[in-house]
Amino acid sequence: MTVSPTRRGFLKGAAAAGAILVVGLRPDGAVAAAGDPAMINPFVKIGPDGAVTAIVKHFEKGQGPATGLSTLIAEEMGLRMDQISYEFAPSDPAVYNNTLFGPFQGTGGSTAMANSYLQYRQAGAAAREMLLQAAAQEWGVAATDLRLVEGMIEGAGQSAPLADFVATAATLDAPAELRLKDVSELRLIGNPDVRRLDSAIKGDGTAMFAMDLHLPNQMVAMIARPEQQRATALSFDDSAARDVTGYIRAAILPNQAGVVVYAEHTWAAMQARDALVVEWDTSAAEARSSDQIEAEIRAALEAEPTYNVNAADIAATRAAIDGAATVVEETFYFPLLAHAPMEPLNCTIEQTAEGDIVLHDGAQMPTGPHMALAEIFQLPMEKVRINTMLAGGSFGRRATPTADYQVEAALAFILTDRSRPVHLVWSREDDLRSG
Amino acid sequence: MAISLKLNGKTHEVTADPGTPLLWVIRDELKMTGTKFGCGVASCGACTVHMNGAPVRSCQTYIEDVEGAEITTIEAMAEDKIGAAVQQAWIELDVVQCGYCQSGQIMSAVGLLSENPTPSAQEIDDYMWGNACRCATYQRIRAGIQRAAEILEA
Repeated sequence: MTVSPTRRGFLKGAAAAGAILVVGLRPDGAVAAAGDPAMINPFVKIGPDGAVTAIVKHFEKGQGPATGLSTLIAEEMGLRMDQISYEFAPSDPAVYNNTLFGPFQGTGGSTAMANSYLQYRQAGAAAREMLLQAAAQEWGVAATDLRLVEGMIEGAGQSAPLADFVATAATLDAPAELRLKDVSELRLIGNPDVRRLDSAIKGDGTAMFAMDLHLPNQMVAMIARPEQQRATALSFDDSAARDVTGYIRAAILPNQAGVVVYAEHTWAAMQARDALVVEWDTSAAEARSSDQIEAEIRAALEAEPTYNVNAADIAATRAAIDGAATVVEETFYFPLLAHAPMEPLNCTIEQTAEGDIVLHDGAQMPTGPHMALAEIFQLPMEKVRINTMLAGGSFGRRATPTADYQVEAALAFILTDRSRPVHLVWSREDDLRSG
Repeated sequence: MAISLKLNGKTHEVTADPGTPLLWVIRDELKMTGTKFGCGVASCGACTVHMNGAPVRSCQTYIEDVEGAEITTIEAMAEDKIGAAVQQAWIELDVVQCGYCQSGQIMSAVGLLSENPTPSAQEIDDYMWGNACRCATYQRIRAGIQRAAEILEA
């Protein structure tokens, strides 16, 4: 599904208190009436105090969408960059999907700005027009005589902060047609002086990465994994682990892919896991050495191709090489390498009093873990929520539509009585050996 | 064991087994999460703190060895003259990307500038080599340290 902005309506509406203006696209393209539940997923939110918040549908691993998408809203609303803040969107593939991925929320392939650019500019423009319309009604002037400049609505001899018109704007219909600012009017887009919005928090220790979450009463879980892929855990002896202060217990994962160790804190989990003795069944495990794998790859390169063969291309290429004046021949071999993001993989799962499952994660592809967790916990999608937190890099490792580490956390959590949140943590050794 | 941990000018009474890395006492017990876990073996620098004013890797500094020492973390850098200059330079130059290593980068940068107020590019590289940045912001880290030196000189 791709977005055709001209065919999609805008929605707006007041939150329960009546003083928050939210603007966003509704998935079916219709303009929402006030009270429409689709309005709960806006791209921009304006509080009763006039505070403007961009709701960022892409995760932030340093590549900048928190600043980029906020810039689009600020541009259309005439704000300075210090007048806008951002929040990460909840997981909702119907509203926050990557329009270049289809009905799937996720970040990758340098698509964050490309698929959000018109969406967020239009959301900002709709918010601007509704605020101007509200002021025009109150002052009895034409909206076309008014402008929104750095948080102030000005024109027709009047001037007042936008906060004064949020409540009225929230009762208005979203504009049927939108005018985006002309290139000549742009102050922020393309301006090299615009600075990141997340610099200060990343320089003073207050930025919250998934690793930094300490939910009340949480346990830390680490998994003892086999040295050979696809080996399965048969049994374990935790008598030495029991001597570790803070060790709680261990259990074989339901899929036997490893043994999960639960502890009161990370250091205890690390020590207890090291002290665990696990018996593995390696009968179906990967047994090849790196040298064997390389030899197989080289042999496959030498063999006649059998997959996706284009005989004409091959013949033409061979002819071009045969006829070349100079032939340069080099061989490059790259071994399997871990992506090694600075923040080791981790995420936290908890169950709310209402029985909802909440995943706290630097979620690159939220729809993947959202669907996986709904299946594991046998819950409808709306009972599974994802709190997207800052991610300490990805380099491809967090782009996991199969949700490998989130599934591990879910399996670790489902083995408990769910009274305590479980923070699954990978060590760097896990990342390099099993990543 | 129970020890008095002097951290950012405050004394905390903490209990931890001997051999517990300072990193995990700071993060999991005191829940001050600006100091990061990156590797656990002093290979990446994300966990850098100051011990009596000098950068150390808190993942390889044991709790029994810090009794009586002054430990300083990223959370106290805004009140430090050099720390504040480095933070200002970091914002001016948009040094960060994912940001996970940057607490450690800043702690090391402050250590460098306290020893050498006007480091050359080579001296910066020599001093900072132990702090890995997977986003590879090294060019801006170097520029940020030189900018911080300018701010401090002014």
